[in-house]
Amino acid sequence: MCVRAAVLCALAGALMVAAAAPLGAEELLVIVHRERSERVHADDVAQIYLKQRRHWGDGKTILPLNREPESEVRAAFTRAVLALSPQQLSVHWNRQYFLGVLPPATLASDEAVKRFVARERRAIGYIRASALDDSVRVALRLPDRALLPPPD
Amino acid sequence: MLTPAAAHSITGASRAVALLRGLGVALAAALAGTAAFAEQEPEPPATEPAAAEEAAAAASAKPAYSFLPLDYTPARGVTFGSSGLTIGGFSTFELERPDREETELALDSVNFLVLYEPVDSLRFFGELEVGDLFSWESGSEEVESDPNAFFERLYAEYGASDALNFRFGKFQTPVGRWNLTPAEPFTWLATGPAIVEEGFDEHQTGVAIHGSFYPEKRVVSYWVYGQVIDAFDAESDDDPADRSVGGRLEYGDARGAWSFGASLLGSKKDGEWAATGGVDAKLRIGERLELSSEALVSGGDVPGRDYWGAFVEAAYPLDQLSPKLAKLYLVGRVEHFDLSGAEAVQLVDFGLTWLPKDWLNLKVGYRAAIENAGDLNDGLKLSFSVLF
Repeated sequence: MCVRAAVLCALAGALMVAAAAPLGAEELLVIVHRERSERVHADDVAQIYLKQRRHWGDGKTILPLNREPESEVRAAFTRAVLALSPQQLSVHWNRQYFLGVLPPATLASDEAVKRFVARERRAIGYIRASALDDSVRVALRLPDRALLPPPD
Repeated sequence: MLTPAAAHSITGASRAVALLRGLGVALAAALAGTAAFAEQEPEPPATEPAAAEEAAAAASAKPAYSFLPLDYTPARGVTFGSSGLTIGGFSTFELERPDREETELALDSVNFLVLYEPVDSLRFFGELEVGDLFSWESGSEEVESDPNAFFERLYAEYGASDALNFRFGKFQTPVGRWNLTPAEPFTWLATGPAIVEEGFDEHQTGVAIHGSFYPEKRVVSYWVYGQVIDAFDAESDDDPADRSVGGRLEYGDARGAWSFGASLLGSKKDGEWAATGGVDAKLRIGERLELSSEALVSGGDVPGRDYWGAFVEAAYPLDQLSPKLAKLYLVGRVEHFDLSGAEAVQLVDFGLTWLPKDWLNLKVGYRAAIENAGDLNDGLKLSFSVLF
């Protein structure tokens, strides 16, 4: 009886671990132009994406790029970096709207974000690790909780 | 609506006011000009990639309605191609039922927000209010309407860096945090705190230097400003100070979970000075609760500027109780306002705020005067706001 219970517990544990870390999950990366050497931390990225921080060290305006609202990548990014619920974000952007500050522009794919960042020195974006190549520089690897299932 | 002093002789101050009015005209001209430009140049915005693939991706991702070269998103306005011009706004429909006065139904104003960012680091911003559109009081057979237009805000700003921004024009007075976004669609309650609405001028006309620094995991923000010219486009029932000087310092968490602020404002009116000082705080507890508080004390020789008061305000999302209550908030505020020469006022405001969409919010609230409401109406208030 005891052995059976132990086996069941072990199986349940294994299932929980498997559910928490899906096979093939991948990192989310914050990318910048290759010539940008600034180090950014998660707090910096949060401030940039909330438009609280608006200039690079060289004085140029930062152009943060978001994914479309229904994107899984954006949901993971918002959860990991901004730590705000969609409703809290909506309240934030409404208040910013009153102050004349608009949310980041959006693009619809990792490829589009990457190509834009590769071309535009002022831009910052986020993509799945599988979309990375040497056209951009990784400024930050997001924590494990931002892991994403791979694209279909 | 220039003040009489500014309308007299050509002084330095009146030149500055004229310059500000010219800024408004220029903004309107830019608006018309860039709209025409946008019609001729149907290119993707500068912030989008030039390649057709990315442009198509961007178009599919962002605007709710695209009438190339115009993109419109509710509550975020319409953008005019790559011109840097965005126009949006908001409006609020109100029903007030004060306990001791007649019921009033009003479409108080439509406010247009105009943002023009022609080049990096330079921005022009204006809020044009078209007010007193219509109101009706119970017992009256007539609907009152006396439309007028004036600039609530109008300024030019140059941002050299996050730490150094220069502003010139008419802007919200940076005392405390409530007054920075006091318009009804952006507040939790349909009624404003008495210490903010009665205590100091809502706007300053002049210059400001402001910015932020980012020590590790923290933000330190500052404002230094002064009303160095006559108040621009003041509302007819306002009686703004002639000159003022002020500053604000705020220290908080990098992601905005909490912050503390301190503000100081000196105002000169008819040769007399008054000083106002205050502290404020904000705390966001995860997704569960948002708290904010302000305390102000003011003294001096300017009539009506001798008071102290404080309030605490809270917003609690009810979806924590049931998912069916998503986007519904229980909101409340407790306030004490003690104006010299009048009896102290204790106010409790509470109600529900529903934010079903980014562009829509509905509020129902009740103001109860625990002790002596004075001129501050207590009673029921409903409001319906749309952002466009």
